[in-house]
Amino acid sequence: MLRLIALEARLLARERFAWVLLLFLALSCALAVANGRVLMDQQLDGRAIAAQGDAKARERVEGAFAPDFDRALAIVVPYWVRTQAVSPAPPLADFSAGRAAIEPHATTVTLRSRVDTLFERTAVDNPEAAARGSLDLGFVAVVLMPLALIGLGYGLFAADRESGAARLLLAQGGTPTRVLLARSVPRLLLVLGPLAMAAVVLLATGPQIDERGTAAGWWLLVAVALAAFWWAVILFVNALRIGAETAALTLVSVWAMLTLVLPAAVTATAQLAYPPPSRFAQIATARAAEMSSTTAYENDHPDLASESFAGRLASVRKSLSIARTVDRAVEPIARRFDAQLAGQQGIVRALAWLSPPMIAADAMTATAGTDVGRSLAFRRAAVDYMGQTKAALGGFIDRGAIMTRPEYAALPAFDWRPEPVRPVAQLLALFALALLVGAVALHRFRRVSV
Amino acid sequence: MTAASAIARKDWREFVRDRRLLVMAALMVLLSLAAVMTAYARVAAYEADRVATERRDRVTWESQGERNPHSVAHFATWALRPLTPLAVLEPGVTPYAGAAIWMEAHNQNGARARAIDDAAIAFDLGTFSVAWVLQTIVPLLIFVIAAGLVARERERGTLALLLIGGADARGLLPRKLGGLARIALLLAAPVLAAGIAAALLAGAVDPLRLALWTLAYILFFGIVATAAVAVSALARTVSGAMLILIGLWCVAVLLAPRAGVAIAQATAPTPAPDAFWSALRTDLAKAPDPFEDKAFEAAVLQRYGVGKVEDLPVSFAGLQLDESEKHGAVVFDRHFGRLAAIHAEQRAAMRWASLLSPVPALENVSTALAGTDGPHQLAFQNQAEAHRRAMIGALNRDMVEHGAGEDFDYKAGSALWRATDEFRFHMPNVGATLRTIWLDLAILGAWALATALLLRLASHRLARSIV
Repeated sequence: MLRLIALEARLLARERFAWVLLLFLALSCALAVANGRVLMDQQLDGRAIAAQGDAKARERVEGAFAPDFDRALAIVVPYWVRTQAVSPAPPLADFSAGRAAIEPHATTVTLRSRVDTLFERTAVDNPEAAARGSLDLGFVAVVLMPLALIGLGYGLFAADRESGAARLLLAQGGTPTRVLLARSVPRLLLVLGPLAMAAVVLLATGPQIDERGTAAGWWLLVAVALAAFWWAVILFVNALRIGAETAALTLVSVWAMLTLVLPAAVTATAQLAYPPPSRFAQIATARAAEMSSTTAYENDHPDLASESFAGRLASVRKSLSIARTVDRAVEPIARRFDAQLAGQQGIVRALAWLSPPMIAADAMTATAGTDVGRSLAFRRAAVDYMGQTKAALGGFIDRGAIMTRPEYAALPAFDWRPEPVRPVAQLLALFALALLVGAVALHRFRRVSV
Repeated sequence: MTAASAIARKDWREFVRDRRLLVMAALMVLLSLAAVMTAYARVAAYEADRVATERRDRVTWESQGERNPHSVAHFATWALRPLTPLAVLEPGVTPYAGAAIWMEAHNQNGARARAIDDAAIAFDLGTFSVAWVLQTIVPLLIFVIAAGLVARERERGTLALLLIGGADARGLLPRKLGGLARIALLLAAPVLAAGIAAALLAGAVDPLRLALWTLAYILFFGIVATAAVAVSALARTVSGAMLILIGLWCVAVLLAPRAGVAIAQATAPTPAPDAFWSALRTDLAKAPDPFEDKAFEAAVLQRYGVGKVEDLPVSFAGLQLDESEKHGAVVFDRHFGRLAAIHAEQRAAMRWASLLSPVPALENVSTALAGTDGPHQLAFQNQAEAHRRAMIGALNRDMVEHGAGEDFDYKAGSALWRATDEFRFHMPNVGATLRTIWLDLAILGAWALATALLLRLASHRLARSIV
């Protein structure tokens, strides 16, 4: 068997197309690796800057703990506190970018923060680049690799059947299973090789992040499972009594349907079924609530409102009261946003089972920590943290108490750690599909072709 | 019947008889109609929502009663980005760009409320739209249909018969191209017609923009069809031709635009958001604060010829606020200007991908003419910032002129809020838009020329093959 595989590998090496394909895949992987590294660096740098926090704000608050600090002004100090909510770096953002480049990964929480404005200062990316998408290893694995496999496999057996060489070949090589296996191994290695190499390069040169190695192992398994599925489909199409041209057309159509059309249709369906509420209406609601509860300048500059303790306390209490009114007004809308996005995610997850490329893409981004589920979880955790921080800071104002240094040090810290994702169900599904389609194909080969 | 029409008729008959292609074409048309309906619903709902919100917020704005102008400047207003009717055809960057800007005192805010933030995308290969179908699916279909146009004749041996029988070898490929054009037109026409009808229903469409947009796509399909016929003529077998064309499609449609983004990120990396805002905050803190700057106070006293602030005929706090805005404007211009320059450099870098494919150039042309590209988004942001400065300036001026001695206790009335202009986005005119895409139009022209030369080369080889 090994000799047969070696013979097929030598034959493949003589084909110019195989070398062109290898070059194409190698270049795509190299570009994906370069992109991945840039993205990972940006992710880590951004988090490092965010984690430093606002030194000036800290200094200002620290200055308020000096013994000679104006007591009347000290009641305003909770409004000076700025803390950070920073999400842990996704373990494989350089493998599958997912939503990493467009989602916020950090935000600043203050007593003025609101659920609808918590992430307002996060996006400075170029929307033109975001709209065109990124080329990462996930894209190579889900989009390009199947096309490469189709290019190598559409005529795997159909071409021989067309030319009449199939019977001769089977007579020389033994069973169809042996011939197909001998032809499959070098072709699969040709396609999976550059992908695995790229993954190794990223792992070797990337940052040390918890779970990165394990996550990369799962990610690669998903890529192999997807390749197995596509190869099984290719074998099945070759087992049909059709020519090489029709085989190529059929495979490209299946690829386009599963990879291009279904994901687009699923996204559109999810958005139609769970349309998000209006962001504009949320803005208008918040403003109407604010307007109905304030007419005072002190809302914006409590430190300038009055010079007496009582005056400033009254001012910050009013500010807090207004903020709470606005919070109450926008909270139902924010909850609805969450619910609709979760609904969309549910539909996308459910309908993803219709398309193996979607199953794989979903599993890869989940393993990489760049999927919509993790983004949603971070946003929720940040909103919860904002609630805790505002409750703690607002408590001083409610009680009319001046915050002390130990109380400042004991303020809640953001500590959200997502559970690592193990895409067992997706892996099993992909391998099961591959086995099923492959078994049907082999059965047909035994029955029809010999 | 001329030879050209006979060949076109034969190719058409073969296309109709090939059920595989017919099914694919029918699916494509259905998909496009779904895209048109989805896009129309999205744009119509967005615009209705925007107009209703603006109306509601104006009522809130005008009902503020007596307030200090600076308090009102903090409350401020919002700029909401309108969508052009052509966004039905081409959403461009709009799902990825903020649609609302808070025009408050002291701050130039970024645009927020991005549709992408509220969407769970299954697998992002582009926004489902007419433009997506025309840029992604139609070229694939044209390639699949065209792969066999000449190669199949060669495989069957009918090509040799045709040429030996006296057919003009050099004229054959242009005639094949004509036949393919008929088929492509039949495929694209319903999509374009439905899309254009939906755009017209969505609002007043600029006819020049629409005409240029349609012409750009016709030119693109011409490039695709010409390349496809040439490859079919140069390949030895149908499957070989199909393989090459699928490979070309993969590079042109899937890979090249993303490669452009990679080049852009490598040559002009976008700053991390935290770094950008942190640098801006640091610079703002460095600017002299008129509320603490004694030199500013002295200059004001000297300008008005008085000895102390209490004697000023104007509101000193109003002057301080106005000065603070001027300092802020310098810092905002520097930081947002640098960010816009980085985005412009990225746009230029992304154009390099046009060496691999006409698609990046087409994307620029398509989004620009639809009013949904980066420069239009930037125009929205710049106009919002200009409006913010004018509005905050007017509120500060009112406080300066009428708040002497009262400063933050001064209250203006509803007449001032009613006199404040509403934000209106003025879309850049066609001339200004064309200036941003002339290079992309030239690139499309160059691709048309290159594929025509390729077809000519294929014709020559075909003619030589029978000698």
